[in-house]
Amino acid sequence: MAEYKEIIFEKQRGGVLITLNRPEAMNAISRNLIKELHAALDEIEGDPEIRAVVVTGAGRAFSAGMDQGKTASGRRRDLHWPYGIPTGQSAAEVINSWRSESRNFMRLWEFSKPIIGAINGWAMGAGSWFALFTHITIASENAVFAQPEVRHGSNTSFMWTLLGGFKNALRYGLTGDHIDAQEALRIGLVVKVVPADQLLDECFSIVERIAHIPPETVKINLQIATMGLQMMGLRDALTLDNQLSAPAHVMLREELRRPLDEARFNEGTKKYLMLRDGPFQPEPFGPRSKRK
Amino acid sequence: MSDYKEILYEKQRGGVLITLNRPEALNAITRSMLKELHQALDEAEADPEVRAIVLTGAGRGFCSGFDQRTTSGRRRDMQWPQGMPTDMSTADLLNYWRKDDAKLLHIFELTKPVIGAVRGWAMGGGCWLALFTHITIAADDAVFAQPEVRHGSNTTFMWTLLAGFKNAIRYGITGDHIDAGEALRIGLVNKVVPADQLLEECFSIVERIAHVPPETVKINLAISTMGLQMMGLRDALALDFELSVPAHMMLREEFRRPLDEARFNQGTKAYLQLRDGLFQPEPFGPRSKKSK
Amino acid sequence: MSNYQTLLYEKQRHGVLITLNRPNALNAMNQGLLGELDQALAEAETDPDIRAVVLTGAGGTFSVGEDISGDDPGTAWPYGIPEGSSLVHEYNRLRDADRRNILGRQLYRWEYPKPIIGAVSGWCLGAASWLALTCHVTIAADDAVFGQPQVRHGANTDFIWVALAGFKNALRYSLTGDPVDAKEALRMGLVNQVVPKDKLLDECFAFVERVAHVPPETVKINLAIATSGMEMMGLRKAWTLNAELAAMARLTKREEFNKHLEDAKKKGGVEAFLEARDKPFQPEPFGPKAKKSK
Repeated sequence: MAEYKEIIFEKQRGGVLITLNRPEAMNAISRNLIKELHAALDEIEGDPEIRAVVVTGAGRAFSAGMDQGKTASGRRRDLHWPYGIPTGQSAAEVINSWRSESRNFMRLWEFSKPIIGAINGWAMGAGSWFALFTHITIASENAVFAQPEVRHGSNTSFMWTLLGGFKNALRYGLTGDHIDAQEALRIGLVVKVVPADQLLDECFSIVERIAHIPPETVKINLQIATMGLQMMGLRDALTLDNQLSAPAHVMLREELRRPLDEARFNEGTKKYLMLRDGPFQPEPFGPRSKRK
Repeated sequence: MSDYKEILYEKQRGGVLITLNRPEALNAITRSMLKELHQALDEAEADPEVRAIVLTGAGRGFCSGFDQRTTSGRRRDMQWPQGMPTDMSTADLLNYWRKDDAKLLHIFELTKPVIGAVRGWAMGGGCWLALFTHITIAADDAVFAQPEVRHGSNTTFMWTLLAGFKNAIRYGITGDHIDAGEALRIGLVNKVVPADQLLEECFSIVERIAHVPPETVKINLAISTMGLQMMGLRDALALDFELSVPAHMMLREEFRRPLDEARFNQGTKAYLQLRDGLFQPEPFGPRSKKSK
Repeated sequence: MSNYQTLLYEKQRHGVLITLNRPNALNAMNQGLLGELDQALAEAETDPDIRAVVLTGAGGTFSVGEDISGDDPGTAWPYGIPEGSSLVHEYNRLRDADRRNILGRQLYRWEYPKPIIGAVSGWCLGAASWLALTCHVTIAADDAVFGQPQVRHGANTDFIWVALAGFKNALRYSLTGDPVDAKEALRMGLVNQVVPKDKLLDECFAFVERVAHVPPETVKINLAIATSGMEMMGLRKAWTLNAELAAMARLTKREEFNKHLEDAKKKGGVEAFLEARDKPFQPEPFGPKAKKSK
């Protein structure tokens, strides 16, 4: 069994609990975390004792999204204005660097065993996508879903549309606004909301039920849903999704982007987030809303 | 800026308020109003000061549908038993109905978000306008319906896309009225607010959108709308368009003749009474038993 | 009008009430019943008095699904196919059965020119849930329970659950066979409305009467806008794939999962089989076999 540093891998109750384990970074997704997740999935695939996977986050967050500091989203210091291109690079290179055709989420979607998201807290950006790509998703009452990075040059995911319908997806995907567990339930991003202390038990009781059923049957019934949606064009929609990530990340306006970059590099992440999210306070739902 | 006669075009708060402006006719859509609406959308799309569009109706209603007198040509001189206008061949008639396109897809495919602000009646073509907008907020007095299906007209696949086939069929084959609460439940609208908060709610969304770079908004809009096209929406709507032809042409004398005669001899009120009388009370809304 | 053995066919209020009528078997669907249902629908299709079809079950329950009573041939282990048979024969039989008997009938009802309204009270399980959910409109009584327990013994779900409830809700219940009650069914979008049991048929026929006020060709077209529209979005492709996966699912038998169920059935009939199959899943999350909370 592999040695994991950024995830915890705990077999139990007919399944495995994978905990995203970078609580000091709100479980931000680093290159290494992705690597470890793939290794974990490889391990799970080969282990007949594991009938389903539960994914959750350590601490207050499920995942705050892609790690700004450490991954290739490369908030480069040296964006050359007015071009909006990193110094020394061509537009061709920049665009190409965003066309990584990442198969990470598709691997979750097409996985041969059910993956259950146990959303314990903040699920932001790619963290929200992770939650959405799970086959079954249960939220704790504290869960928050949002894509705040769309506020500064990034794309949403078609999965919000597939699950929530285009009106709900656009209401929240164009502005990055926060939604809480109840709104997520209402629009179809999760199937149930439970008190925080019941979250993992709820998920593992589903795992235990699945474990009573032959694995091939579970796999087939999983694929009736996932491949069925591919048949309905989901694959094409997600292909388009992928390709739209490049323009979303490279089409940057100086007047909007430069102050954010400068805040981040000169004053730090906190200042950057205040600048990015300040105009959007209060949020419509969640801890930063006016409610309660 | 063009001079609009049947709509109002009022830039404000980072967006534009387009108001269907024929309150004396409950904002019934004429050919010229439709033309002005499309022009206005083009104007808004090209204006960098306009970040999003709010579409509403003047007076206390959103829109009562396509103006019977000008758009769908309810000809006086139907020949029975043929069920065709006196001097037209089947070829003429097919051609006529196949070019009667309201081009509502223009709204859906616009590169800036369109937010429907619906209070009061949103009937027939008016209901379709509300459905094709990217985000829809309803006042608590909103009513959605397609009563024209009762006398030889088609519904739209947008009901199915948003509400699922069961809800779409329940209301689309009988033209029954639904209220704001039911519209929210089945997914036609994002939110219901008191009527006096309707425009404020919509423009606060516009202002949030205005904080996000325009190219980002454009891409994230496309992820949803084009994603759905990838899933076959365009094909479904193409079928829709072709099905409107038989819907309008296949008229039975015993149903249609009395309606036409009522309209021409006694006026619209008598016609509506005859058409809708059989369907009273409606399941929801001001004409239901539920209303006080 | 034919005499039906397993159905009731009662014209009324501008429609017809077709009742699955094998109450002693909780309306379990065998080939005889399904064949008669096809006939009844064909009869209703061409009858101009009939503007819509209401489909329900006798004895206060819709149907417990495919009829699994009757003797099964012995299974050769570890192969998991009937003794003396071959894989090619079994697989071919199942593929044809899934495409013709199930998908073929489903598409017939899906593309039917008149609205078919499911009136569901009591149990609506397995293939009967597919029957009810592929109806154009479905009204549930407050005691309705929908579920697909057959997935527990090596059988498939149907894409219609996904088409209505989204993949997350569909998978929550179709990977485990867990039942849902009327309220959860409404929340998920499986049904249009939930009404008190004694109002179920009246609610359905009140709708039929509304439909009857609309010209038939118009109703037919507006029905197609939804149903053919979804086919344009790929539903038919999803269902075609479904049929292939269904045949695979029915061939998926493992000695350690299935043998003891077959033995239970041999010894104690369907009841014993069901008890053995569902025992590990008690209590259910919803329905009569759930833990009563509070």
